[in-house]
Amino acid sequence: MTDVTAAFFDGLRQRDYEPSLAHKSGVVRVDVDDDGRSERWFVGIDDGNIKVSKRNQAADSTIRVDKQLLERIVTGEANAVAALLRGAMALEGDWNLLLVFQRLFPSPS
Amino acid sequence: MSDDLVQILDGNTFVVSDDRGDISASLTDPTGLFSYDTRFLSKWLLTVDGQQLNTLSVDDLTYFETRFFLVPGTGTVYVDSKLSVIRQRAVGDGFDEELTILNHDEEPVDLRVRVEAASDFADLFEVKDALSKKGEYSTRIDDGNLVLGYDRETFARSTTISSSAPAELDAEGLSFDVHLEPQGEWTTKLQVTVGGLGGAATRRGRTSKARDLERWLDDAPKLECDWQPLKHIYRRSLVDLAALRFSPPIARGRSLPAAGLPWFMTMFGRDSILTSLQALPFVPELAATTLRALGEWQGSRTDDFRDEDPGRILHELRYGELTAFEERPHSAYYGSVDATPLYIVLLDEYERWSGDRKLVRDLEYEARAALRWIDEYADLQGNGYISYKRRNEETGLENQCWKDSWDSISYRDGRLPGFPRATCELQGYAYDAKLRGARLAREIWKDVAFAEELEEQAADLKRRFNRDFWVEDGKYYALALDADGAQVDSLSSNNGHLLWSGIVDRSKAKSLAGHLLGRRLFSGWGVRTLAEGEGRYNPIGYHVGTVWPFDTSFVAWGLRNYGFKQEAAQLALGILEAADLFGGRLPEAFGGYERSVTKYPVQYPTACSPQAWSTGAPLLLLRTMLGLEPIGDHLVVDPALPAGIGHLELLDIPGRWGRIDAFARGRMRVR
Repeated sequence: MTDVTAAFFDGLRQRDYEPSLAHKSGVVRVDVDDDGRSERWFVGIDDGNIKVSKRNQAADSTIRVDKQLLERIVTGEANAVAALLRGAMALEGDWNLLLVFQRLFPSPS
Repeated sequence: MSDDLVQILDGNTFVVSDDRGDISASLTDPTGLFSYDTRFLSKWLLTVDGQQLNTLSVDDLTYFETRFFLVPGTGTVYVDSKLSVIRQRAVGDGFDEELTILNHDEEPVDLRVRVEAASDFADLFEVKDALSKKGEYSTRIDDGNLVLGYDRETFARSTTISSSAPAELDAEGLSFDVHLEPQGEWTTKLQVTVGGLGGAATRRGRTSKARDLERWLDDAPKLECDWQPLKHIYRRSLVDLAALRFSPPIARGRSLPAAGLPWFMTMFGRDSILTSLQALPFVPELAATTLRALGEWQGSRTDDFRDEDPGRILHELRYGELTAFEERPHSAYYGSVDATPLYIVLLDEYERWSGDRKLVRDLEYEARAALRWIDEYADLQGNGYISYKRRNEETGLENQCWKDSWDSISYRDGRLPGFPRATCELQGYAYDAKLRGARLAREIWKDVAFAEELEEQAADLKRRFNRDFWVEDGKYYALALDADGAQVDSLSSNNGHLLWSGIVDRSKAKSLAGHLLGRRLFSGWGVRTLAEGEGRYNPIGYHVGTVWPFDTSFVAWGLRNYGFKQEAAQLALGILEAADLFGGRLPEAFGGYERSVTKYPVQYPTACSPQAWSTGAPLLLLRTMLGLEPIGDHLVVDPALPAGIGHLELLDIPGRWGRIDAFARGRMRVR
């Protein structure tokens, strides 16, 4: 079975420059809970340039989410803002950055 | 809203109570403590020895603070009480209430004081539409606090109530045994805190809010005028605008205008943009925040449930339970077709006033995406016009223009057209957006080819529009084109928006001015949304005959743009005189009755008040009367005052020029 989450972050890594993130900067940390095992990703945005890393660093915005929900979000099946309002996902720090980060998620099919 | 209700607010937290300070809400009743679209208290009743109190007076101290003077008694004409009760309430992260009881007797007295508290945790949508709840309620006493809770899966909201004086707590409220010596005084501070939405805006304390309001008023231009009511209306507008600001968690502490109390204390694309436009000469920072926040929320995907497309500017954002569980699409909902072109209009107008080129550079991607949306996503019929048809058939909006009620768009004979509908003002906004976008492209993004492309498109749109929308036998523009491209031929206020956008051929403008000031559209107070004589005309129909002050203010701006100064001044005076009769605060809409018949403007029954773009109307009318127009680095002042205003000064108008004063003298003095 393919790891949808890993595939999403790998896809981002290959995207390199994303025009919709021009003039946007910050680091988003994503803490993924996979049945008690946790995984941590960092996505740095620097004026449209994207850097994906698993190395610890300071973040402007931290998202905590379980793996199943994240998989649904990165495939466009679930909506991140509704999940936040529902308390199914937690956000600390900068909301603005999450909104911009959403631009990287695909449309619902 | 009923006049005997008392409301105080701070951003999107607000309290609506009766004039005793009590709350006892039924599901459909918009009273209570609300925050982020959820009701956190539906009951808040004060009794002394089992009796509710009577009101002596209510002092509105500021928009966020009120004081109720109460006495026990039976409510007979003569109040002869030995006790006074004072409730002083301020909104913050919930609200604080200082409860004071004074004994005026020479004897000591023992009292049983009780506050009943409960919450139904209703989503504002449930209050509006009377829906029932799916989650579980709880009540617990925790560390000396009464905690009311509501849970549905991971969704949790709570209300925590505490008292500074020792209280007996039970599941239904707080009780106090109070002993008062002769001339004695007892006081407690009750605190109601809302909980549940992580990342909520940080709240400011009461003194910091008072200081902020003072600074807000100090920073705004000063107004001098020989017509006294205008000074009061101006101040009322500034204070209400301050009250309607809110700092959503996404705005980094900056604030933008919410749409209106009680239903619309949230971000609306259209309302926030139009209010920011009206307020630009007075409080330009609202525009900057609106542009940034709406830019961050700009649509990036194709999502039918939310009527979202890449580049589209949102219509409405909500935080409540129904939105959280996707029973409503407001996370965010994008079903508006005017907000996107208007976004470009605001960006350009803001830069022309402020000279803030950095913001225009920062938002280049968003602005280009918005311009692209007009051609790629909004032209549903492939005929070169913006039109709308919702993709969310269940909970989406049918009418996605500002006149969004079900019967707002009709033919002369009253029939309703099918979908898609291409209303006329949308084409005007698109034309204006393209020309303004061209200026930004040429001067700031340094993309001459894009600028020329936009200008060509605009010229072509104007040519086609003047051919396809012009109603020959009426000499005005059709309200819309229907799904077959035929004219929806009724006469409406939308013609004034076309003047504002500049899409009107010069040769046709005089006829429009005649209609807008004519017997069928002009009530004597303002411009009716739909002309008298049309099939669906109704002087108290929401968008089919009432006068909307914001609408008339944009009509006045349009008239000015085409040189009809006196006509614009006449509309300004009509709306300002109505504002005076409403105590300085214009409602969302009022009846379209002929002025000479009712003598007094009749408020539309369920209109929101205060409402942002009604609050902004007097500001835009000041701009049109003074003829303020930024040209290059200068502010041009070209006044035309209505009869009745002899002189008008606006001092310290902020902009790229620093601060400038504008002076105007009327041609005649009537009063």
